[in-house]
Amino acid sequence: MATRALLSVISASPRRIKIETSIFSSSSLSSSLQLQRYSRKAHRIARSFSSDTNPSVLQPPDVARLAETARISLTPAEIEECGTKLRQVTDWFGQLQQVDVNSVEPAIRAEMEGGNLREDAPETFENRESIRASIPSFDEAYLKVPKVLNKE
Amino acid sequence: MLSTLQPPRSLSLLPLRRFHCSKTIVSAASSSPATTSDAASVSPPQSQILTTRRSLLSGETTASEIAKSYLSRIRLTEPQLKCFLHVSENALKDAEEIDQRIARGEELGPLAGVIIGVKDNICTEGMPSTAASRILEHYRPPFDATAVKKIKELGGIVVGKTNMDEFGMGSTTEASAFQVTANPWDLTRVPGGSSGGSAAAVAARQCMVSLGSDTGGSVRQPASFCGVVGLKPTYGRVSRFGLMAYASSLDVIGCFGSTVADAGMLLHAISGYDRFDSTSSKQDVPEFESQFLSVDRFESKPLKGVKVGVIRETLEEGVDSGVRSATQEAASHLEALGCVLTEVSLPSFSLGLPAYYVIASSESSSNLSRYDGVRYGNQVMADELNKLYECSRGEGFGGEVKMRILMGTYALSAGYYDAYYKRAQQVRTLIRKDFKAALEQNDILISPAAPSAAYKIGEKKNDPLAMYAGDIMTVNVNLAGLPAIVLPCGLVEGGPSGLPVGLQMIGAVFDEEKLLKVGHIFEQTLKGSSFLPPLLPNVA
Amino acid sequence: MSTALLRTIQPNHFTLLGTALLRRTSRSNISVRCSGSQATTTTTHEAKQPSQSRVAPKNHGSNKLDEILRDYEAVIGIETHVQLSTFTKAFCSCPNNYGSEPNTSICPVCMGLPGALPVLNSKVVEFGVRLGLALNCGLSLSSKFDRKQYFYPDLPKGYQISQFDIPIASGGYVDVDIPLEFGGGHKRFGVTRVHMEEDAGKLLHSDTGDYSQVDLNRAGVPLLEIVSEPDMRSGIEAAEYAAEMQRIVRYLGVSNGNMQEGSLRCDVNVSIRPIGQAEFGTKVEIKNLNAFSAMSRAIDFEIKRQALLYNQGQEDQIVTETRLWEEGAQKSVSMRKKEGLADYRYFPEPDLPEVILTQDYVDSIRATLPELPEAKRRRYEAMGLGMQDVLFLANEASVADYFDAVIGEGAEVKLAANWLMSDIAAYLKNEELSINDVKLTPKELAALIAAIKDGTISGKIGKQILFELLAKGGTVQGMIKAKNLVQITDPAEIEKMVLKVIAENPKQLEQYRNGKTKLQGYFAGEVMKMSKGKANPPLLNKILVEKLNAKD
Repeated sequence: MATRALLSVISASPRRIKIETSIFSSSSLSSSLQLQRYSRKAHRIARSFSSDTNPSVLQPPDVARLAETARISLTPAEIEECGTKLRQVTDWFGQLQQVDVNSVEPAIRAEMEGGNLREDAPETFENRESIRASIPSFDEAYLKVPKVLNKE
Repeated sequence: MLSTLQPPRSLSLLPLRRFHCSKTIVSAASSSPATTSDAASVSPPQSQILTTRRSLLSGETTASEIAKSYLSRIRLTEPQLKCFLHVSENALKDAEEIDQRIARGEELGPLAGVIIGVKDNICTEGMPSTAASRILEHYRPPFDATAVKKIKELGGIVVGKTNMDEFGMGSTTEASAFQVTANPWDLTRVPGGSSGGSAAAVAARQCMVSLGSDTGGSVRQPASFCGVVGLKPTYGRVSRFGLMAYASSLDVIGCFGSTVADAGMLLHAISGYDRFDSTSSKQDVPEFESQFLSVDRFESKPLKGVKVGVIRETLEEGVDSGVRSATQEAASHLEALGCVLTEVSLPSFSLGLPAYYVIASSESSSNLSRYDGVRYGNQVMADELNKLYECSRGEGFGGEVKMRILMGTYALSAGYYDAYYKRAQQVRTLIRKDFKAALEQNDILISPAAPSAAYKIGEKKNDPLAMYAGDIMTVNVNLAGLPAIVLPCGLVEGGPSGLPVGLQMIGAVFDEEKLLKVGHIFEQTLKGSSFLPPLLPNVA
Repeated sequence: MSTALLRTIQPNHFTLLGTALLRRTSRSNISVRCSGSQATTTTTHEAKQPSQSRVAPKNHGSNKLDEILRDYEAVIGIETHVQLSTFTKAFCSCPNNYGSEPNTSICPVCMGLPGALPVLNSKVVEFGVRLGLALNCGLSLSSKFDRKQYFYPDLPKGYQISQFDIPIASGGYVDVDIPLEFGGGHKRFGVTRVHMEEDAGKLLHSDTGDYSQVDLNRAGVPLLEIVSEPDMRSGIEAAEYAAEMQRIVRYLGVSNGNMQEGSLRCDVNVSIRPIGQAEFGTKVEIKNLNAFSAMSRAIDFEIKRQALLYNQGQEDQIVTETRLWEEGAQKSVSMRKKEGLADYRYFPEPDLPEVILTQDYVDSIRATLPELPEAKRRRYEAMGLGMQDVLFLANEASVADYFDAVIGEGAEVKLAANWLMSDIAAYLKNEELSINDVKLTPKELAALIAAIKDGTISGKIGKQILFELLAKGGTVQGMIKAKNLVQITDPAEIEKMVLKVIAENPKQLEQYRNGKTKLQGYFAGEVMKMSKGKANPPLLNKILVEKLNAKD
């Protein structure tokens, strides 16, 4: 089905490319080739989309910066590997831009009844000791953390 | 060797049978020795929950005996299968308590003595709950998930925590930080994921039923790969309190069983509004047990008039021919039971996959921010705060989790929200609309559960898009919040004696009842296999 | 005199040490000057001369500064965080108590444990609606929560549940009266929005700075954030806006509004622009303001700092940053430069349903709103009270209620006001009590006022028994009887005493008759003593003068 998804994007592009409609097989080399061809095309499509807030193009992901934002340390090898995969995936996300979503309401979740509030009545959680026992650096009733440099 | 998989004599489960049907196995040249046609008359599978109840009440066996036999089977089979990350130290004690209650003549809950596996991303008080991640390696929660609490209240015995892909991100259990679970049907193949451990454990009869979680198919796809029943309830039917969140708007706790009845009764036990989960529904939970009539009480066309929509987009290119055949066979079977089949089209179907991954990675990148080594879990000490965060998370999370967090962080970044997340939510609306329209015209919809049967361990590991592509049958159901059940409908070529393939049935919102009714009747009238996996080699 | 009391009774009301001089160019033509000035107001109440005693005149060395400041207009906006006085936190049922032992009011939800989920406290919505209505806002009948994401040790989940694009209330305003010593006058400031969110925990830095300690008791406590329009133009206006916020939240009972405890926190944004320029200048955020007076001074400092930079042609040195106010040094220092805006990666909170308000619900809350400070001030004004009195009486709901009760018993408005503002206020301050603690009931205060008015007792006696009534309670009539305090108004009786005193003090009599008329006071005092204070003063003096001047 991903093939179909890939096809739907490619066919939407102005230049029609003939793609082999073989059964999608994950291990074949042809699929990764297909993917590459698609990536380049979708990359162009993605770049031409202008986001609502910024008329300039959607920049491809900057892995190092994202890792910093998400507070995850990556080795240089990981950055490289992640980068490739990430670009593949975000290019693939690009096909969402092709959909006409004019006047379609975004759905936060499945339909939900509103409400489900609770009374303002205190309840003490009984197992607080266990919570505190799980804290790796717990010192004199406080959680201990190393110095904070800059709050983002 | 057969005896290792056979239940103890005292439990009246049906004997092992071989399945053979030349129509469903694509290649007739099967190397499996046991393809003789003794499949003439096989009793339909029996509910283990009901059987347990009967034998405990009649005194035929005790809860302790049952627990012992399951624990010994776990011991025997775990080295090969690796379904469990933790086996409970209290299972026998819990069973003894049930026996004491019986001795005192006290009333038993509907799950008394039932041996249950729980996926490791569901909190069990005092028992390790790691979500198969190093960052939670020794974490023991101070509370039970509501679903677990309910199971215990009804007498169920949690026998252990099952293996999964880390934090639910994956389709094979290969992304577990600790071990890869083997498919009981072929030890060189994956059991599916992310609830692979829970599915395999039920298939291998290491437990009677189990809990999993389903965000994009994580109960249904492993059910298909392992030849068991996987039931995904409507979003909000079961409380998510205590389920370690992956994608909050998509996650549900689901049930595995060897029969539709078992999966259904387990679901009933854990369903209902929970004041600790604002997204849980106040909708009444009907009792399901009356749907599980004995097959001899069926009418001639027990599903007469039931309208079944076959989702066209799921039978086009990209689906293994064996799967396609099995699905078509299943459709014929439904027709024979009286269903009216039509083809339905869901135009937005193919968009579901990218929309799903945008939403899931965005929400999960946020949900996983709390794993920072400060309040629980593995901490990597550092002399500066951000370093502590980065190292704890860098070392604690596996590669796939890190990828998804980066994906989600990207998608939610300033300037990208409209392009990705918002758009994905809009696509979600379109998908919901399509399903709603189709389910107005039909009682249920059907499709394969996955484009193929179980593939080899290691096959898809390095190709993220290839892995994601396998979710195409299942993600749309999560986006729409609908209930769905997967039940084994046939075997395809592969492994020592074929690989199971599951049929997915999708119902309207909160209409689990209909799914269980149709599923139960389908299962009880399906000729052939009891879908017990073949002998495990080298197990004495 | 009453001005000084005004300040002592309102400990949170700011004092001015030195203010910037700004000419107002906006609609109201009030000019605020340190040396005191005529306050031209647009309202109809009597214009009072602001007291000149408390406000120090600016030293003349900065006349040049004044000139510089004249060319610029300050634009000030305030973000106020109000900690709600609910019994439980916003999203879990942990008790919301100030001052508990650290890390004791915790549970899986507010600790951000795996698998925990938020459940909204209905009281938070109620308080949000109350405050929104009190600030004259429009309410969003359907609003939602969003996640604001960043990493910090006091933020357990790695995100704060807040409201981003659809707050519960928006588009309101607040009316304030500027205190007389700062020019007086009526001002209206816009309120952009009010939204619900949860508080973070507390972070305490070690002395060495190597590590920090986290207390998560406060994590998850409900807050209402109020964002003002950038309508304020001076430190005084900003401080009065904040003081009014405090009054309102206390009136409503949604918060104790205590800046020291942190249940009312204000961050200000200050920018300046040359007068006439439409665009706003670069704005600077100032934090760590623990009192209204600090707020006012910090703003004035910042205005001056920016104006000087402008004047030196260095306005590009004014960057978007956060500065901390140092109370000791009376200056602000840069805390961090903001490189662009922080990216909080907001997205709608999937774990919480929409917050739906029905019109009935809103109406029912509107019906329970108390009379708010602004309405009180206008009502008291209409009664003929001066602004000084009005501001004092309306500052605290309990005082206003007491006052209303007293005049409800028939007491004269001005007299009741005077008693409250002078003797009673002084008593409260000395004893560190609130009006709710005194044993003197409004009914009895009214009785006291009446007793003095109709001459039953003298004013002086009245003051004396006041303190006993305040401390111990009791009735005025009872006390008059018990202590035999009824004023002596019988001329014959007074005459007797006068004659006696005169007889006993021949020397002074002679001195008086020789021209030392001032000794009348001495005689009067003696008669008072003899009468145990009960002699009616005017009558006493009349008879005394008569007798002193009589030729016998």
